Amino acid sequence: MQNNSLNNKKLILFIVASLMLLGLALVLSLILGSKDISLAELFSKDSENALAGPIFEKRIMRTVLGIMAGFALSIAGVLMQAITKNPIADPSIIGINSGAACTVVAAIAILGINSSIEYIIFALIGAALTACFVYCIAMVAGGGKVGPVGLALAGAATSTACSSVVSLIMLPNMNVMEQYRFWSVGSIKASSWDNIMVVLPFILAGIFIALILIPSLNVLTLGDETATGLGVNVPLIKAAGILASVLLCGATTAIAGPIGFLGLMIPHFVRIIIGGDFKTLIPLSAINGASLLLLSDVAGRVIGRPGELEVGVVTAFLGAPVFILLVVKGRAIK
Amino acid sequence: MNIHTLQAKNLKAGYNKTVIIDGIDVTIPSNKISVIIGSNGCGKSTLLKNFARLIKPFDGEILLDGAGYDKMHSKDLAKIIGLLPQSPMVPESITVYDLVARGRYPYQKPFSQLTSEDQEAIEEAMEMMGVSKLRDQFVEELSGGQRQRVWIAMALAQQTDILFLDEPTTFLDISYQVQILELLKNLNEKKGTTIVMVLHDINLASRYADCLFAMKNGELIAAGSPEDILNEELMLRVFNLECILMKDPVSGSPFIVPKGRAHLRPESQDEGKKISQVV
Repeated sequence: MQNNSLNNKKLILFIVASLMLLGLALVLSLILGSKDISLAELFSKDSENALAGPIFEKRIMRTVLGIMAGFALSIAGVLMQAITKNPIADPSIIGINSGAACTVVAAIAILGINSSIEYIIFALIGAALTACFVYCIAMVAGGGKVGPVGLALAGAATSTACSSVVSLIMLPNMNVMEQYRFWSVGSIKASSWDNIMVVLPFILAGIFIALILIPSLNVLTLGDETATGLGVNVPLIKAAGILASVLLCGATTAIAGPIGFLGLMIPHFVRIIIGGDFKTLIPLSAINGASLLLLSDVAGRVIGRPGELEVGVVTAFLGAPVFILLVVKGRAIK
Repeated sequence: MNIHTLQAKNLKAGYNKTVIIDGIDVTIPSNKISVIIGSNGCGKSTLLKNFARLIKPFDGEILLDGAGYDKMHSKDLAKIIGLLPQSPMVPESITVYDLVARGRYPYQKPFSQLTSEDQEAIEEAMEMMGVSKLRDQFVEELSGGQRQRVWIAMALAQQTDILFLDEPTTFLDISYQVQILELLKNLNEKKGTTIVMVLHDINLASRYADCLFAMKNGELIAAGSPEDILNEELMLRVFNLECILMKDPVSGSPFIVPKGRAHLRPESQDEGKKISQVV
């Protein structure tokens, strides 16, 4: 019993700490930037601070988008890691990000799309198509069963293919390159509330599916055979998990571009601290993912003054060493 | 006592496109312990996996109370048929209690907590497998025998009338093997659970099984009580191994001693004959 109550204490402590961190990240995200706004300025209705108003509105917008993207990418990471049974899997492992990028670039070059809504629609279509394609290849390769290795290999191959298609289209076409570069590095500098409202339903749907899947995911970690014996429809649950990942990642990539490593890092660390029960893993990964994304964004704004460093660059800077550390540590444990 | 009947009719099955079992009929005796024996690759695991619905038959059917599996919702089926696969995966840092609790999956709905009924089932299962005191320990820290008892407790928490186990004793030392089989026997006697398992140790199978299924090359060679079917001739047919049949001094069940070349000197052969004559 002692062990158990110790675990509960640790869990409660971690929840409190996570919420406090998110609160801190929220405040910092609102006041820090290329131009700092003091808290007093934020809440003053004084007309002398006319500048603070529009800036503040922009900051709220990017903070909201940061929370959405942090939730979405972390939950997608949890789902992918559960489905592939690979503790360091990332949504990008099944090529969702590169598939989305490829479709958008192709649409810019061929169809001449140029509005945010169009980017979002094509990114979602691309993410979904890529995921289906990779899933089907993995299924054929595995003789009807989708295995983690098949999924990773098919994902890596498709991802590479998508990237080369992107290069192929972009190199001879300066116009596309200009437009594409605009969102080729992830950034949560949202253009408008309208864009946020377009992707929000997809992200909410993804989160809802993830929450419904919690008991099944918990059983799936015991192995496909045990899960089948317990009455889990394993292919259905895996497909639903991938669908949720596609919704979450596709929508996020569409509005914020490719933000890497968050889906890899956050679930991994949360799992180390509180264990692998999805009941706590999913919500706490979401909260901490949002905090890390907001803090990275703030760091990018402060470091990059007078301009700013895109959040995708910051998370990559943070993520790459962490990834290497995990690989080395994993080796050492084995 | 449970009232479920389970049988395979003209079952044809295998992996990918390779046919391993080519049309056999098996009826699982209710409320009994059945053990499938046979050499490696004979199809015993394939048969078990078909019954446990891990793989789908190519042809023929498996009937639970006269109806096919696909007629039932998978969660409802999981309230009747349980399975312990050969090598289940242990998630990182999960406690014994939490692992056993996952056996309640078929009874749960999304967003719901464990009911008092769930908790009772978990307690009873842990009690039966003697792992109640380990409840707060991490499963990865347990010994092989303790871990296997926890897995069986998980399957018991599922409260099924039929339980399949794929080589439940394979990675255990002999004292744990006996312990696990004693616990399963106890379960069968107390609850009337129909138990079907694959075992490699013929003598333990002979001791604990009410019914043996002997398989070779995807065919059912013999089925019946160990006393009726287990003998030198069966061992020769199924395992291509010359043996001497004796009597288990503890249980009185048939006991198989393989001959083997290395020790097959004339005097030991004579001795073997003498012993078998004594029996």
